[in-house]
Amino acid sequence: MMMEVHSPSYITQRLSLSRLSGAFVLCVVLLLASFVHLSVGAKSLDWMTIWHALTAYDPSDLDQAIVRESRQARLLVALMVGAALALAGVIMQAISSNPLADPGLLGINSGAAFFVVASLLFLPSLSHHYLPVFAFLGATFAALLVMALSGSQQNSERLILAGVAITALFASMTAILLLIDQQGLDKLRHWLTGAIGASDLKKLEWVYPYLLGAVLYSFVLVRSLNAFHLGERVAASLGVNVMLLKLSGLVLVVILSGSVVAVAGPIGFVGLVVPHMARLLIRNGYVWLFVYSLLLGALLLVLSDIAARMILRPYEINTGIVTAFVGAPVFIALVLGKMR
Amino acid sequence: MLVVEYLSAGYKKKQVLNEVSLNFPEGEFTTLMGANGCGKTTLLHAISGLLPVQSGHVQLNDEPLLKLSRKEVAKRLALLPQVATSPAGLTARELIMQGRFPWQSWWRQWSDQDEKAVNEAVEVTGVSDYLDTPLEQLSGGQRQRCWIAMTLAQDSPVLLLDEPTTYLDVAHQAELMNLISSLKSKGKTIIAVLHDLNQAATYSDRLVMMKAGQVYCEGEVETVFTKDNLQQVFGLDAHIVRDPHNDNPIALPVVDANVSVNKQSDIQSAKKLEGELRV
Repeated sequence: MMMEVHSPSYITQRLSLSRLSGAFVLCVVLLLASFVHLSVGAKSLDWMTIWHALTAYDPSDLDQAIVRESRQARLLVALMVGAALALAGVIMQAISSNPLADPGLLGINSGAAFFVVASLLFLPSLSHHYLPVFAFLGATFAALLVMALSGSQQNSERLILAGVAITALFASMTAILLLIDQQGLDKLRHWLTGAIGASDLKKLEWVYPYLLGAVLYSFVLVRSLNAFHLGERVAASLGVNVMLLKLSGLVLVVILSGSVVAVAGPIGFVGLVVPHMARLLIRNGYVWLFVYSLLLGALLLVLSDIAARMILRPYEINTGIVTAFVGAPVFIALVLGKMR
Repeated sequence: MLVVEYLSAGYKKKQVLNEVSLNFPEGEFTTLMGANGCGKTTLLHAISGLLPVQSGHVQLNDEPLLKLSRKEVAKRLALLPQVATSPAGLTARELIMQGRFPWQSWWRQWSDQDEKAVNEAVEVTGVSDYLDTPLEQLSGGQRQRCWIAMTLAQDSPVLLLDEPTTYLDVAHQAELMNLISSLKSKGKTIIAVLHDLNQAATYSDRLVMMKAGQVYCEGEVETVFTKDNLQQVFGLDAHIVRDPHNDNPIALPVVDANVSVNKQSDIQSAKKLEGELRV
């Protein structure tokens, strides 16, 4: 019996089409979530007002001004932070070949946070434009520490343990700094649990060139990452420069999570959870894994931020706390699944 | 011809290869043999540039390989490392298509030439029936065929195979060795590490026996596959007999004299026990 054999290009075309439509559906869901995000808050706004505010802005209308002046910025921050954290998570899981890798769990976020707090405390006169740079330095420092502690063998349990230890170290050092400076405590404490509300559009302006560059560059790495998925040795024999790939991946993770920390503080678990959600939809192939992770990460953070403002109305809880509520059970499930 | 000259390589604390010089003739199947830790795998890795070389040269048709970029090396040499796992979520086709990596770049995507190379690799290895099956659902033998197909799709004149038959059952081992041997007719130069002495003697044109990071002896199977060499390289006491079908040499390890005695006594005691049970 003759089997019908499709050519590779036919199969890839069919796959891309279903993936493209999936991405489109995600975009629509994200758009709806964004509208909900703009409408909820201390004062609920109807969708017509939001629509007018976005399309035909009338500054004299107070409700429209709320959308344009405060909520829109918050939405943009949530979208960018979520997408960046998710991308950092996928890249980190790829280059460490470890499904539990996450910039939050591996101490990179808390290292960045410590350096930011220290710079605010010891160099108060410095322009805030430099905050992302300190975040990058802290993220790099933490990443190097974790790598040194986790040893040359690729032992995923040891890597996670090293990450947890470094996270605890930086968190306690940050706490000491905050004890020294009681005045700044309140503002910083808010930021340190991952607060989107506290951040504003100006902060986003400091980091968006870094974020944009990192996202573009990560798509350059896609082919090498696909080969790396077959194993380090196979990738090397296929012509991948493995050292360069790992270094590039690490730099991307540092830039992505450092930028996020500088804007919104250490928000955990997004980088862990989202790649696994994306992998349920995309079995392999990093182009689409990246696209889906960016969309799902933005969606997760927008939804978390909506929840953060809805659960204890009229009060707000920090978005980082909501993502931890979502992320921690997923993490436990992943660990249990790995142990089985 | 692939030429290795005075090649030394190793890891941080331990030098594994010590000034190895070898020639691998074009279109021939050479097998590297030796006890564990003698440097066979290290030699494969050093030739293909996976391991930094401390000193020495590797030349393919008078072109120095060690100076080339990783991609350029990959166009000339395809190495199949010892693979025990299969990457999650990949189908056979997706794996084989990865073999085209060194020929692509972000401005040069999938081409007719890529398609042709993949189709040819699929045909030679006979994997067309399960191209769209996830690798984890394939048997060990089928999966190994897919990995070989991936290295073939790489379209390099030289193939380096590190223990390609390990983890396979006997029937699949024979099948795979026949496949690998058939690649010679496609003009491939094949260098393999094999653990099974008789597979090595049967399928190779040339044997290289290594001991403690150096070449102990090398040459055609008939001259190298001898009782003395097996004794020196493996510490193995073996008889060399001939395959009645094709006259290939076969090594049979010498069996301790008491083994057959024990077997006799085992049979006797079993019979005795059987008799007792009947009563």
